[in-house]
Amino acid sequence: MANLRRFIIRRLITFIPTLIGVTFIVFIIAAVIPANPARVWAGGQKASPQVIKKLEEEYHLKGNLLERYYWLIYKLFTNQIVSPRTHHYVWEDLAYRFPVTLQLTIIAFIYILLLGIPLGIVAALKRDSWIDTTIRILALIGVSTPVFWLAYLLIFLFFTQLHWITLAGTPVPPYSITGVPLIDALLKLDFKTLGQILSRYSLPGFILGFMGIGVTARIVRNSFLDAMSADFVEYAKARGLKKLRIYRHVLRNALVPVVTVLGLMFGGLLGGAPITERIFGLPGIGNYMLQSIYQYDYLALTGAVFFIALIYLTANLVVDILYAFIDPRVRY
Amino acid sequence: MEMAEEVYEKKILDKISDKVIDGIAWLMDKVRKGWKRRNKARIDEWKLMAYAFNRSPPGLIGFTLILIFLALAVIGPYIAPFSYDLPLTAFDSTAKLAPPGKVVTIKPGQLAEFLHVKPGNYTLLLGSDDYGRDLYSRILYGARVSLVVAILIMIVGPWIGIAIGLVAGYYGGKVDEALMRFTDIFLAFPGLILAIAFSAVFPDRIREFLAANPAVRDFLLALFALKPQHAGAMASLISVVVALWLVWWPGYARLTRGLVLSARENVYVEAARALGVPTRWILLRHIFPNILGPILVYLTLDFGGVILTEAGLSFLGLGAVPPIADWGRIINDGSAYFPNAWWLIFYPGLMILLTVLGFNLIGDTLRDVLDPKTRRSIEFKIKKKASGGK
Repeated sequence: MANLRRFIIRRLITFIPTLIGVTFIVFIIAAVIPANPARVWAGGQKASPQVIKKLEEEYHLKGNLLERYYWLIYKLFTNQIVSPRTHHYVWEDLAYRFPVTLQLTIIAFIYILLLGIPLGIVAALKRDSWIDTTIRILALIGVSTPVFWLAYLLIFLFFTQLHWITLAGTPVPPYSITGVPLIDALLKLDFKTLGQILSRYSLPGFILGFMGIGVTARIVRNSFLDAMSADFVEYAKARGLKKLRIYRHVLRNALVPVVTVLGLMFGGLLGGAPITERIFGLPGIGNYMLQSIYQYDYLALTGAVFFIALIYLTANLVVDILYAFIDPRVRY
Repeated sequence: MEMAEEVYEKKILDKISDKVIDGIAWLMDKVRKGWKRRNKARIDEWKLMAYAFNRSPPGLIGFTLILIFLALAVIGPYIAPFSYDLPLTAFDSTAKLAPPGKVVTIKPGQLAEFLHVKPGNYTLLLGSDDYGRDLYSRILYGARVSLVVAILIMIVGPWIGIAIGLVAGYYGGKVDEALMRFTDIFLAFPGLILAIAFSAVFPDRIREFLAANPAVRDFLLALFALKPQHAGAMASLISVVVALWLVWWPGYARLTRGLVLSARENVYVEAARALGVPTRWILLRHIFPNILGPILVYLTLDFGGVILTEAGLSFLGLGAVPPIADWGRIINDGSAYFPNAWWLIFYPGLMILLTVLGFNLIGDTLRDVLDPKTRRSIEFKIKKKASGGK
């Protein structure tokens, strides 16, 4: 475990430069926009010069890029940046939008786990049969489908035709425990709110998870097959263990690489899904970034990028640590 | 022991692929004398891969899909009944958001002459959009846009990564550490979101660049099959290309580095180093050609992903700008009329799906074909029982 601690410390040390690197790249790219962002924020062509000048001063738009970057990061950290677009503090905006993205990710993940893993196991057990081929083709279709297209097809089916889902509003219960409505409703066993959340999020969640289902099925299949050809399986068979017992051992071994991939996927999805969120009008992190970009709000954009990178890097770190726990062979 | 020519049970496809591979070998021999003799084993291996590929239905389906896509992209703009920006509402007011199968009449007159349209009755195969532009024509033009965008991205983006991977892998040590940490920065962030941030800020600069370089502008306009007045709209499309250059390389850096690490342990590299061959020369002449194979395969596989990502960015309104016919953009513009004008979403999306699926099917099959284990098993399966049986 001492080694693990050293590993975590080493990872945390590379954490910070990466974080600074990502935000700096985005900042540089966004800050050198040819258009004057202050003019856009002040209302376009007919904005008064005084307002523009004031905004320029307030947001430190002139001067050395490095100094401006430092100013922005410092102010973001101390929560002093008010987005010129939403007129809220950037962190407040992000905190308000994060639960939406989190719920979307959780629901997408439920689909991935419930469909991807069983499909992968079935494909591995029925290797080279028509089931295996079908699942393989399905996985390929999954990574080939433009999600925005699929989303409209399913909206047509479930909203226009069947009226099963809702497409407006974000259900929030009157109480708040964790700040995430889905978890709150589950804790309180409030099935009415839960139903509302599901009817709002189930389709976007499916769309977001769609690509992951196929990918997961493929990974589960391959790692399951790898585990089944391991020596210990041969040994177990030779000892005359029951098939079910053998599968239990295989499953435990096969899931090790799967956990890594799923962890990274979770981190990636938490970074916001601009396309899905836009189609379904969900006010999540991805949508926030898109709006910031459209309005040249690079302050909020850098803030959001910082936030996403933080989440993504943390997810990576957690996955690496988790790896040591589920696979005792891993030594740091 | 005599080594007889290996005899395979050949199907018609195998004969065609034999001819193609022989043709390539013949060409290489023309360029470099003696290439065919020196690479006999390699040519036979290629033929064997082709046989294996020919025996995989998904691979063949993918290959067909891609052939159709390439054909549409090349000849599409010439066979399209209308130009991508022709508003049919100018002739027939019912042509606005016309459903598939609607017949539009174009009367002879000054307007038809001015817009270079032949008068007559036209059936709008796939319907039309809110400006009365023929969706079928726009999808044909869109194939060209997709292909050119994908190629433009692929001839630059991955090569940044390949160069970084080559240098990092060969030099190792601090150079490797620095370059890989730099790569990690890009990997530490979802590529799509980074691309969104990038593509939003380039258009103005690219517009200036295109205005300053008319030769480049005209070349690109010809590639995209666009009219000169849409050079401004093209700038946004190019900005997506540039944005994807900047995010499409980290995977290649990792891949190349790994390949170089194993390739540089080869004896011939050591021999070259002992002979005092300059490092640059070793990298380019001895290592690079030997790792090119897997890189090229990976590049081909990646085409589908590039097309899908570009369509996604266009859907978000960051790539192509109207009136450019881009599949993702058509869906974005059509979504305002959903679900009534379903064809504006259904058909372009189907085209994206089939194209990307084609590339992925080929990729999936290639991965099998390139795996020596599966290849040998197929080799045994198709070998005639010439030596043992008869």
